[in-house]
Amino acid sequence: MLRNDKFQAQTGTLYWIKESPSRHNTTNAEAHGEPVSFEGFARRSTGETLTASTTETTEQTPLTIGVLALQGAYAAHAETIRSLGATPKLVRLPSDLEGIDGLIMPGGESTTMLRFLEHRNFFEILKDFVHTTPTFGTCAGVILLAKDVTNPAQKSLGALDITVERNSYGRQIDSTILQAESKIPGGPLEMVFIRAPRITRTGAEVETIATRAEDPVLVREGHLLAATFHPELGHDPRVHQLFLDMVREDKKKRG
Amino acid sequence: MADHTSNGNLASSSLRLKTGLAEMLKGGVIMDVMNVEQARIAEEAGATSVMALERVPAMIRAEGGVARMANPKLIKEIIEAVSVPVMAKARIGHFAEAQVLQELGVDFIDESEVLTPADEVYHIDKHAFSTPFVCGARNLGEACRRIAEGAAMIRTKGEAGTGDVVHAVQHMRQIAREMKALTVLDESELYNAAKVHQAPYELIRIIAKTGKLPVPNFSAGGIATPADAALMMQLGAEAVFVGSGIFMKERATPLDVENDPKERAEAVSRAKAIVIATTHYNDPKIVAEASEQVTGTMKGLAAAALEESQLLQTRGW
Repeated sequence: MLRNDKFQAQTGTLYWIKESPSRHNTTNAEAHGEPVSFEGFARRSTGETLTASTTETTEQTPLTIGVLALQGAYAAHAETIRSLGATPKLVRLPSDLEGIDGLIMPGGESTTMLRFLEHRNFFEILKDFVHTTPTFGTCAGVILLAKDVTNPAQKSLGALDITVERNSYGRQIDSTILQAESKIPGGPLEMVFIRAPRITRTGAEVETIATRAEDPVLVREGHLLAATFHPELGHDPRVHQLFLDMVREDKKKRG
Repeated sequence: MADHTSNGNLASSSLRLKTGLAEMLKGGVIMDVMNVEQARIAEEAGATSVMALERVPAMIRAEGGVARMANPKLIKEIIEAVSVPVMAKARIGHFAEAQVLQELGVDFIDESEVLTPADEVYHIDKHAFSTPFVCGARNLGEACRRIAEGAAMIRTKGEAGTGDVVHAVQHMRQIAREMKALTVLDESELYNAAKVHQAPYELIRIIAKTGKLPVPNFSAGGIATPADAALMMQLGAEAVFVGSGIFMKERATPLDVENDPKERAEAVSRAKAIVIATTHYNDPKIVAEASEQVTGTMKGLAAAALEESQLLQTRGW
């Protein structure tokens, strides 16, 4: 393959897209700050634009992170995990949970994922797993982790002491990208919300790390992390890094 | 809205949000449904999304006439009935139908060759909408042109309404082959490649670098069995659309899922099995188990027996 540096350019701006960036200097910095470009596309395809601030972690204990791959954004999570120096492993069957240090449950459709959990005793096995092993849920993954689900009520693993309302911010047309300060150091966090659920209640042991208006959107309870937005679709690896730190901490504890 | 003159709301029309929803649908099955009961069956069976329409392609093919956007009343009922994303089809170039679909709160618009085209030259300017679009393609050039117009997802066209997977395979293989060929070209050869594919140079350059489309690439058009779904996934599809394969009995007769429990059970068995085979496409044992559960299959129509004028895939360019 003949590739040179010019090919590394990730963000070719297209001459045939009519929107000019200068006209959009309103609130939403991320969505407005760039001319319409293929930046997001390139991110999806290569993962190379992720700038992991984690050179030291790659030299630490190697981690294997399971990504529940029944359906949904598992590929984007796996790519982000890989870019941070850990090894992703796709989980489609209960036996795939063996040998992983932590698990990511991605966005997608929680109803679809539940259908798969009905077979092979997967639901019970996964329930045991998430009650004891570091798990990070995004969007539909949060719905699976939650103690209570509304709109409509549905079965869940009941590990994280929160109540989640499905599709609570509206349909796709209401999906949005926001930037906000959070407890994670390093400046505002980019949050991609897609048909997002809303956390309407958090238990006493649940720490809120980031919010959207009054709603918690990134929370932690012990070994569990949950984001109603999609850090795997952004350019900011800090949420995944936080999860890897949790996994590493857990692994150290177990010896 | 779909205001073609103002700069619109870029926050919600950003390509990342649009392709983001497509990412959420990966590894799943999007099912054509013609009424609320079918939509419920699809959701129960594990469909990631439903496509609301009045006649599935097999019926359009059998009955003829002009095929248009579904009645908004039907679309609203289906939106009310299920919690998964709802898609609907607009005719090629019919941006007013697309405006209506966006207004209704449809989550994805399919600018589809299955409906009768409304414009013989122009496809819809999909950048003008906040709602994401999916478009069909038979080759890389067609896919790139649709992406350039703002499509957030590409699907193979296949030959809808036949239950014959041969053209979906042909289109998926062709797109894969053409992408692979770009990755070995010298930089100076890419300008000509853009010309050959009649596609924007910038897109050709990105594909040459990554070896894949810059938006999710799904498969549609003739997928009727669990093994068909597994085949398309192994050929590189990131998810599948199943149109007539689940709810059709004879060429123009759907299963009566509303009144006949036996026919309802048949539809459920097909829907469930295709969902399982799509996730476990690499595991023949599970595909076999899933296929065993299926009672009955859409009768189908060999695509090779169709006259050129009967093909839906040649609509759009």
